[in-house]
Amino acid sequence: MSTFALAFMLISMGLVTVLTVYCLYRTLRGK
Amino acid sequence: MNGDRHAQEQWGTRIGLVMAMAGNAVGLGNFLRFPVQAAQNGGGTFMIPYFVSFILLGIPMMWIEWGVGRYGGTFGHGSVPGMFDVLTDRKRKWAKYVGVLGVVMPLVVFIYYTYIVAWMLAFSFFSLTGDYFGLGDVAEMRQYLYSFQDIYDGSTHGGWVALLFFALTIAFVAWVLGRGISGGIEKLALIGMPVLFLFAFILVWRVLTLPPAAGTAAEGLEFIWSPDWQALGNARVWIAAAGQMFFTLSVGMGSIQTYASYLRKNDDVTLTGLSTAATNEFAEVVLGGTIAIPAAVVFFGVAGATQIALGGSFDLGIVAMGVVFQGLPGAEIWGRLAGFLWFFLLFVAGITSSVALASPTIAFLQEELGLTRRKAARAVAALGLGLGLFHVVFYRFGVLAEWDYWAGTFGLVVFATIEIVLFAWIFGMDRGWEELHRGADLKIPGIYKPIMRYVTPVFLFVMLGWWTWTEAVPTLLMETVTERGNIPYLWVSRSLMVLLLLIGVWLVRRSWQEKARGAPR
Repeated sequence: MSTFALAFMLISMGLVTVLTVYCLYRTLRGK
Repeated sequence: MNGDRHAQEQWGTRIGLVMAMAGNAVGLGNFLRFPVQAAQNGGGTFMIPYFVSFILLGIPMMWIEWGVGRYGGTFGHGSVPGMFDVLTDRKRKWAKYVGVLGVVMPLVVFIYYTYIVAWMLAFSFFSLTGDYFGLGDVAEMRQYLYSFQDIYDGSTHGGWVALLFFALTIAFVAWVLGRGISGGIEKLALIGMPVLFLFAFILVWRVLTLPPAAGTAAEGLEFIWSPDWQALGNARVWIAAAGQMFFTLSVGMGSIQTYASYLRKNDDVTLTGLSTAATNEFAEVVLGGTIAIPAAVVFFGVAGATQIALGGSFDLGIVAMGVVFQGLPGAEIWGRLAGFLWFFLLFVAGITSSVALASPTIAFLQEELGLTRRKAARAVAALGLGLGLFHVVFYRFGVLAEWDYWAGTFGLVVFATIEIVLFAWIFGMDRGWEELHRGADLKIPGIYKPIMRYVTPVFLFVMLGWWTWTEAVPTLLMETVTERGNIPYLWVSRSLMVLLLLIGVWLVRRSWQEKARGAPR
């Protein structure tokens, strides 16, 4: 797997995961 | 009064609401359509317009639909005709009739989508019993699927098998819907969504640890994530990415609005709406992209997987995966188990979306005909089974694809365009902004105000124009039909959709006339 493709995949998946965890955490805390 | 009846139903918990909304969004599109679209449209290149569409189209539309739903709900409206009516301060008579699209489209999609969901239930069962094990190549597996789909082809099963699974699925959906918002839909989501994510994580782990064969899982991931920069200038790739955003988030449908109508007046919509959009993206980008394509590349190589992906979602998700499960080490046990996990995951993803798709009709029947929820659920089940039979019996003539194109593809963009014009330009963006922020737990960045007012509508108009010119007109004129003998069936298929629309318009007219006379219902 090329370095660019790997970096693109990890950054994209990482950003989506961070957004999801952040939103769910705040939603479930009620704030 | 209908408004009071609507107000009696509420979501039980916030996590239940998020899971139900995520269940609405996470569907077959996340695990079947997304990898195929990415593979067909330049792999990593597709992901760039995909994320742009998420930011400029998906997130704004999600917030708007939550806002429209909650606003309509405060007036006792659980379906789009009433919501559009109050968005125009009841001053534009046409708005409620246009809103009928937000009831009929999800109903139409519900009917054929639930039939597809029933296939997933059937294949979960066939995986556990090893019914298709022994069909070791793509051609044999494809024949097995076609035989199951076509009730006239009894080479693998009697025609009644597909019908039986369809009836079971419809009955289950009706049972859930009949139990109400917190007692049925919310409970289904609270059980189904964790199961879905658990199964998906197990499958991702299994795919990533597959021993190399014709290819490796890493090559599969590279296939999806390597950009083909030349494709970035291709308008078709941008439109495909925007189209996928509609499917995956279930915007432009009418179901989000109905779910949001059960919120209280000051319940948050900004943070909760973003949470469901993000959860859907996690299911799609992280999980959906890491199962079917990498597994297919391991077994068929990049060239073989590309060929399969070109055949469409079912070729990849059912045919190729069916072969993959048979090739797993210890296939008699682990292959069957993996097959069950995959197809049952798809069933759960689909059934939570089916329930959401039927919800606008339930709310509409409660409001406009004064039916109780249980009676409305039975009516939807009868309608679904009756009209679904049309697809079961005439599937081979392409009637399902016809409904999918008009109600599940083109119609979404038409509806979303009308909706954003109503919200941002007629209701007014300043009022809309204030409405979205009532009780909000998240301040929407200010840049989204001009995005909602100008950028998203322009994006939608361009998309609508492009699709109308390149696809809708040729499709309407039947220029794309290769089997000319199918044309009469396709016209019947279209006529049924038009008939449903006309019935919807008639019911709205009748209901509003009765309201104007102050007649009790």
